[in-house]
Amino acid sequence: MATELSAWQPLGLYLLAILAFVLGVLALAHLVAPPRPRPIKDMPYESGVDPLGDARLRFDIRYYLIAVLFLLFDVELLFLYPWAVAAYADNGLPVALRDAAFLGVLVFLGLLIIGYLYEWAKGGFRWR
Amino acid sequence: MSVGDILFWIVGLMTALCAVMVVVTQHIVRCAIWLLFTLAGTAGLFFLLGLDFLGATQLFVYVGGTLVLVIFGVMLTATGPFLQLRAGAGEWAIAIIVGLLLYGLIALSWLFADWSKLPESALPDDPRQMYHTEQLGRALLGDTSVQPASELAGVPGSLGAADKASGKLQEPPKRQASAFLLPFEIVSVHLLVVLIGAAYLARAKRKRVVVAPRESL
Amino acid sequence: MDWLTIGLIIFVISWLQILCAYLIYLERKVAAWVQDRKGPNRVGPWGLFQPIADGLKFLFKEQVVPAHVHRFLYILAPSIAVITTMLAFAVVPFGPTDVPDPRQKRFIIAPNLDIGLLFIFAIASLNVYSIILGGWASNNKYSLLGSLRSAAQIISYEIPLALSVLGVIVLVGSLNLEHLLNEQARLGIGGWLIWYQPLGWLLFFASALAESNRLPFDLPEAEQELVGGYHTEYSGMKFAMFFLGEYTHVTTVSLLMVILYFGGWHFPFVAEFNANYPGATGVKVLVLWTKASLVILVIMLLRWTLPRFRFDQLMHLAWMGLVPLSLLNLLSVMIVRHWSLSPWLLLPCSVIILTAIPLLHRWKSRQLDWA
Repeated sequence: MATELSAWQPLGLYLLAILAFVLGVLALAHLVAPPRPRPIKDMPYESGVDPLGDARLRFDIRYYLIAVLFLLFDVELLFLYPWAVAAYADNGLPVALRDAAFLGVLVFLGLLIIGYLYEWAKGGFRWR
Repeated sequence: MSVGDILFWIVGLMTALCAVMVVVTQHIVRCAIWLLFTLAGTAGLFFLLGLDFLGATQLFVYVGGTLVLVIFGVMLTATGPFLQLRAGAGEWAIAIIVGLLLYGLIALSWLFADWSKLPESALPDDPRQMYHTEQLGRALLGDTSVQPASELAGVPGSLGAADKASGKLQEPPKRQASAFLLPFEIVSVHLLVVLIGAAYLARAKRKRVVVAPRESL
Repeated sequence: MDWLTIGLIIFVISWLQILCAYLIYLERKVAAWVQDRKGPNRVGPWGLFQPIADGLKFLFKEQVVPAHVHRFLYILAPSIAVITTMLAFAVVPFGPTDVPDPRQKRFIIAPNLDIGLLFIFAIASLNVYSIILGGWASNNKYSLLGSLRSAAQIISYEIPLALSVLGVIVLVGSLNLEHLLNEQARLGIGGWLIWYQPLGWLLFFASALAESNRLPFDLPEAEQELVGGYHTEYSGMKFAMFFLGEYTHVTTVSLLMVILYFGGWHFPFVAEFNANYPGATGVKVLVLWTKASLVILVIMLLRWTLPRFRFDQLMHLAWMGLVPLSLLNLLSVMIVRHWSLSPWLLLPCSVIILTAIPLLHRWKSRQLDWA
């Protein structure tokens, strides 16, 4: 592993420093602050009403659906990022290949847009 | 051992530890959190190996995307009896056997691979030079003059390497190295299929709403 | 081990603390000014020592961990908020990076990261866990509701955020923030990308506001309906950590916006690309932070200008408004770049898309809902 860690070494140090900072702050607050637990203080605050049952209820499947859509578009985007960097940069894609790449990306985006419109028409984005 | 090696070992061991915790933990939400650390640690390993874009992809798709799905799924189901997962002895046995088999497969392929046959260009001294996002993009779009070159046999879509100075297409190399343009489009079709599937899910939900009053939040 | 990096790290961490404390002070002053009040004015002249008093109070307040919470996740959630937002700051240049000797002066923690912008998005997307876990661990119905909404909101707005920036990347051809900045500065004021990407900027601004949970997108908190949303059960230092995360994120986003669209530290006549008069570096740093402060001020004023969205409106805006607009924006950039047209064409193009499409949307949206 002959990798030179020019960018990652400061980043790793920075991450360690942040971790130390967070732990330090939490520990300091824990040491300094007076612990005085009381039964009422330990209750969930639900606007003064005594909580009924567990709060971890089941929720709407639509949240799950949004996460699926997000994941899809995320993957799509990650394919577009290298294209966006390379496509028209000075030392990017050779000029001879640009037409083919343009068509390729148009097809890619076109398929995405077809799927998007289908999803829209089927009401996948409606929240009611 | 260089600083890079030490960092790599530390991150690798932590990731492995988190992976073990995923298996051992019985509380299902905590289990998902260990999975979060495992996946993030893997991204860290990619970063340390100089594979910047792959690391970012790991963070984006697995840590930021798939795991949100997993956690939503867990939170949807993690009520009452499903919160604690206790595996029986039989399940443990099967899991251990399957795990060892898979590990053995990886270990064997690592041991028996002839590393000397690897072309010099595949492992340059500094991967950072090789896997620039720009180069990835060029490879993705059909420029076969850059690494990583795909060598999928029989896949059309090779446009050949272009001569940079003249901008003309060179003769395709003897061993047909093909570009990633076709896989790129196939991925797009896959994603379209999933979008249609998601639309179907949404529609099924809407019909049910009309029939029954909702109990969920 | 180079001492410059270590010093820089210590400086950045403490600078972010001070900055966040005073941003909260500014937020309160702006709110007071809008509402014709005085705001904090007791501690020190004009209440300037208020942040210090607040910090001390956070430290000495009781660390309430209610009995009903999931302890480990309850403490983990605010930590994630701080760690991810502060880590994202590492690749943001907060001063000029083309200084002659980078060993002497450096205004970025991790220089020359090839995937800079992508790194920020990837790390910032992890912030969603602080909210999901905070809400779930609290075992409070308001918190859970708030965190669910917020998670859906954050992941939805990540898509238009990343899509809108693609236009900039196609124009410049790099993900490296230093490179993006220098390219604009090199071309002078005509190179500022706001001229070519006004629509992209607008989409970026809206999505970034939603990502940082600021009004009009502050559904996860929504004091009037959800008490405090995901941080109802938090107090003391852990509560402060959520806020530290939020204001750090606002700072990062403002700097990012200035770097991507407003030429970073470049300003005509004062801080040109090849300005090398004595003190030029200081002037550049000052220009960059002045621009960023203006953005922050706008964000704060927006809070008192726009009403909060309803949740369904919020989701519709992301998926049926911002996503198609950013796709069209990307297509226009693609076409201009492919046929090497003048980039100035993008300015009218943006205006047309921005005005025509919402009109079409209004007219068409009912017809598309045939399912």
